[in-house]
Amino acid sequence: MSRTYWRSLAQLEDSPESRAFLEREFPEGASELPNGITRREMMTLVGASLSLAGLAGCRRPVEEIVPYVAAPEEIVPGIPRYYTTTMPFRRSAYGLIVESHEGRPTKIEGNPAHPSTLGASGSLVQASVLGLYDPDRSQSVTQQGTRKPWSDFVTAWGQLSQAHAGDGGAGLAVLSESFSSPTLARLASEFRALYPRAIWATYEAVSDENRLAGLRSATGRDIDLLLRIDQASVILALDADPLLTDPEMIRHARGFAAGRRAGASGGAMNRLYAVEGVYSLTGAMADHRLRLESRQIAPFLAALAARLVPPAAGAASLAGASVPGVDPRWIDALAKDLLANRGKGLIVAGERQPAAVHAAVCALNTYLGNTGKTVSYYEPKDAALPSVSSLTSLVSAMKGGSVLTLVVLGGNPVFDAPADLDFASAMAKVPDTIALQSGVAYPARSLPRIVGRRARGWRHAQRRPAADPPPVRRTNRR
Amino acid sequence: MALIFPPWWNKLPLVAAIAGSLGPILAIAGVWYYFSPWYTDVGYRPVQPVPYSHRLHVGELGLDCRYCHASVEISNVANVPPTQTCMNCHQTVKRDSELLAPIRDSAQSGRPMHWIRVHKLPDFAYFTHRGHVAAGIGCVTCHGRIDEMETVTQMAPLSMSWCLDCHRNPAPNRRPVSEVTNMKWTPPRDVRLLTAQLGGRPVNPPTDCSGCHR
Repeated sequence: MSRTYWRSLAQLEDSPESRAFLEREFPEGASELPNGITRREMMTLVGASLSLAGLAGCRRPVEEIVPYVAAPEEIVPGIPRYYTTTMPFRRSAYGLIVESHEGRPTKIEGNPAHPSTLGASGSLVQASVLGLYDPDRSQSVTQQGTRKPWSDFVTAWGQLSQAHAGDGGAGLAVLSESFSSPTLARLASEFRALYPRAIWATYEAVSDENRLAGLRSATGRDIDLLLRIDQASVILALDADPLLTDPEMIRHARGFAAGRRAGASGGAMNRLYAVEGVYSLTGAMADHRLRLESRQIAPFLAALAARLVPPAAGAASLAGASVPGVDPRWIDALAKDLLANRGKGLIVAGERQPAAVHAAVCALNTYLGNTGKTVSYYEPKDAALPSVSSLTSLVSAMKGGSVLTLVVLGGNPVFDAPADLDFASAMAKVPDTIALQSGVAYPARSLPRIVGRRARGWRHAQRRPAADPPPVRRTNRR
Repeated sequence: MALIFPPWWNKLPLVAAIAGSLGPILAIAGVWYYFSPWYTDVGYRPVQPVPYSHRLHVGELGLDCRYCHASVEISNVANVPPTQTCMNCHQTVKRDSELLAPIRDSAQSGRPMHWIRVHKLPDFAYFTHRGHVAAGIGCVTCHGRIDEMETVTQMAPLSMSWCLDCHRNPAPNRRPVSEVTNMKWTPPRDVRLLTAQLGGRPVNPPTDCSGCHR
């Protein structure tokens, strides 16, 4: 018995249109153009012009040599020059060396003398050289899409700043990304001195705010942490990807590789446990990877802590606590390994995890004696820390109409602010918006939208206080 | 009934044999020469924006090559001089020459000259002037008698086989480094004297693929 299959309702109905459709090889208009050129003629013409275009290769192309008019003293044609620079990324900064041919940067690599790169680099760094030649890179001030001279912006800002100076900047708001830069911090404090009533919000779509909040609840201070993966023998990554997506990934990867190589020179090779919900590079590098939903990380950590820390007097032992779907022996072995490597272990939680997990990780690292050895803490200097609540209060002020001028310093909040806030419609209520961007982004509604360039002179960035660069053997250098 | 094949058809085998043997030879020889850089590249003489005469400047006035092509000893490329170099002399010499108008315009406006490249190597071939000059290969070896050229003309095919001819046997083209820019230098008849002039420095030009196609 054969079944009759149909591919559309029209075919099932067996309407005359569908019959005509089935009889034609191609749908109407697909094989012949309406103006008389058939598909075959088109193919003939395309083929002929393509083969004729090949003949152009028979002619020797005329190549020009365009020397300088007045040769700069320090540039010799054909000999590249190398410049050191830093590339800020979130609150980190990568120390880089830029190869430049006759004033044109061609290759960006890590600076071997800089502790955050140690001569290596990452994909963002490698790609950043292309950004310098991006056709969408902003080249001038634009106002609602039209190019304007810089003097127009100066005039417009002059009027705005005078208007705001009268009431201490009550109608003025700045939205910046988080940064760690002495220069920016100084400028920000000068701005606050001038406009004490202005709002300053700091927001980043991808941020380590949870970790900062966790560390604050654990220690009562605004601190950030610095991992010394090269010093760690046993590493536990909880939904974390310190080797690829962390801002300090280059240093982490070098440190991790150094710990791996320690085995070759007679020492003990490090061991990496990864517990995560998505496949990350850290998970791929792990000796032991446990697949676990992101929301189960906290219960997992609780079960681990119950095995690490002896119960308080009178309290029931939770040592047998289990997590659904996880073999308790896996946690037992992990706890045993961490206890055996006190001071040489490291627990790190990912930015996705809630503040409580980060606080518990901080406590466990301290309990295991890892603090000061494989992980250390410092107070961010000259930094603006990310805060979603500052954005929330800014948006409610914008919706309330009390913000008259909004200055967006980098970032693209219309695109990446939480959708619940509806940043775009809040921004439509602000009479004047100014955005500083490196490339073409959302259309700002009103007056001067200045588009700046993080050009060849990059921002003054503060690097994290790394005590000493980890001892990394440099074997794979060019 | 007329003959279908007239008598001269008897010569057909002979004609076919000659054409069949000569034809391919001619075709191969034709492609060999006319498709090679010896025909396509040698003799390339583009018209430059300013008819700068190497015969006058080098041949008669005796300018050293390195006065203008200053980076030849230290860089991969022998630079074409900046406008400034021309104006060093021509702000006093031949100030009103019509032919020099583009140079004066360039110096005044700051817009660079657009010279036409004569000697061109493909981008996939690595070449350095520095190494060749240091090894004692004279300018004239590759560029010909520049001091006799009114307009610079390509004299050598700059083909891979031409490069390899010298890389396999560099000795006949070597000279003391001090004589590199000398257009009229001839090796001394006494081989021992030449050896002494060259100094003990051996040269080992690469002949493997990655020597040039890095």
